[in-house]
Amino acid sequence: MAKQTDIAVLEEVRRGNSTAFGTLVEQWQDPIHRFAYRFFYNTEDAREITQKTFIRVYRNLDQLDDPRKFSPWIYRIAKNLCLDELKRAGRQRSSPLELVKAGQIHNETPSAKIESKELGEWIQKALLAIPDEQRMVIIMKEYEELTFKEIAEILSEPESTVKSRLYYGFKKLREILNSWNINTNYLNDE
Amino acid sequence: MMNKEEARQKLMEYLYDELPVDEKSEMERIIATDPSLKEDLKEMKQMQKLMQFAPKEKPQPPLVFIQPDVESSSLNDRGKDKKRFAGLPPAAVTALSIAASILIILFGSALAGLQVTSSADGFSVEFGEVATVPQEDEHIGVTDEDLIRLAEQIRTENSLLISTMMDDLQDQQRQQLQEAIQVLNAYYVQQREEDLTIIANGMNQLQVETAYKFLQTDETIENIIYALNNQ
Repeated sequence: MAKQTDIAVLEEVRRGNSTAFGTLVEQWQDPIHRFAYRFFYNTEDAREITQKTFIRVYRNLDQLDDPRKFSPWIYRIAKNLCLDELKRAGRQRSSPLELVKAGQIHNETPSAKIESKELGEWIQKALLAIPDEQRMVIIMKEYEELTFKEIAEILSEPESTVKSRLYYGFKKLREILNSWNINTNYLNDE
Repeated sequence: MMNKEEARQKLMEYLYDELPVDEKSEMERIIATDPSLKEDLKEMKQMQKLMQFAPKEKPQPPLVFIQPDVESSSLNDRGKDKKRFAGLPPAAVTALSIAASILIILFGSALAGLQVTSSADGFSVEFGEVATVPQEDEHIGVTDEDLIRLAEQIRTENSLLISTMMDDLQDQQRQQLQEAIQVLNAYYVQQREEDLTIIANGMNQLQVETAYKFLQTDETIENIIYALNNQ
């Protein structure tokens, strides 16, 4: 799972090489930031989660038994921090699905065909409106390009659960975009 | 025969090309004969395409990582740092302890009026004023001159001995104080360098973040102009 370079760098960090951890940060900053950004759709939150992730990695690196499992390990740390932050913030960041169903967002949405840039914005907003566990799986699969096996390991869930979350997550996203009158050929074409 | 949930899970594996080759062709056959699975696959593919439109996050300025106590600790021996006193290295703590002990002894001696005197009977260490005992003439079979000479000799030897001891003690104290000062000096120089490094890194980070904020502001302004133009 972990790249060969990760394993070598991890060994160096464990030997006390002071610059090796900097290399590790350099290699993993973008993936972790991207993951957190997709989850919150907020740069500041993503930056905070990224920093906290590396602090936790530094403090707990000696608890990682197998350096080959560094990738799922660091994603698990980031995932837990994201969920902690959601709890701390009282779920104010995401729009509950009930709100969507009640049509409160409906009136704000465009009915005409929208530009691709705007479409991206609505997709990201729709992502925030689906349940956290479904959003997490969609982000890991679509943007981090992890395998079902890797996601299952990160989430400590069976692969079947991961696949179901992805399936129902996509269904929910589609339902939300339709309820917002997001009229795009991508939802209708083959 | 798969149930609906199993079929959906296989469908997701098929969608992401994670099915083994032999199961892939079997899945294609099942999809072709099941209209609802076919519809599901179509919708999933549409969603996959849509997901690519989500806005991409701009590259972030690199995180500044300042490793605590780079020189003396590694991940495996961080627990040992707990034994350190106020961040000083162990050698400095030892030197400071010795210097403090000597200072306490000297100060205490001065307060208590410590007196070290020598006589024909040997050394005497007393606190406060020295008690003067009236001397009585003793006749032990030697002449007064012999006694005087002997006392003079002992006094001279004792004076030399005390003088040598005091010199040694002073040298030792001076050396220990110099060592302590050197250690303290080295510590403060190192601290100063570390502080300067932290400040420099902080300034760099601030500079990068400020530049990034400017870029974000520019982009926001462009977006507003774009939105206004398209209204």
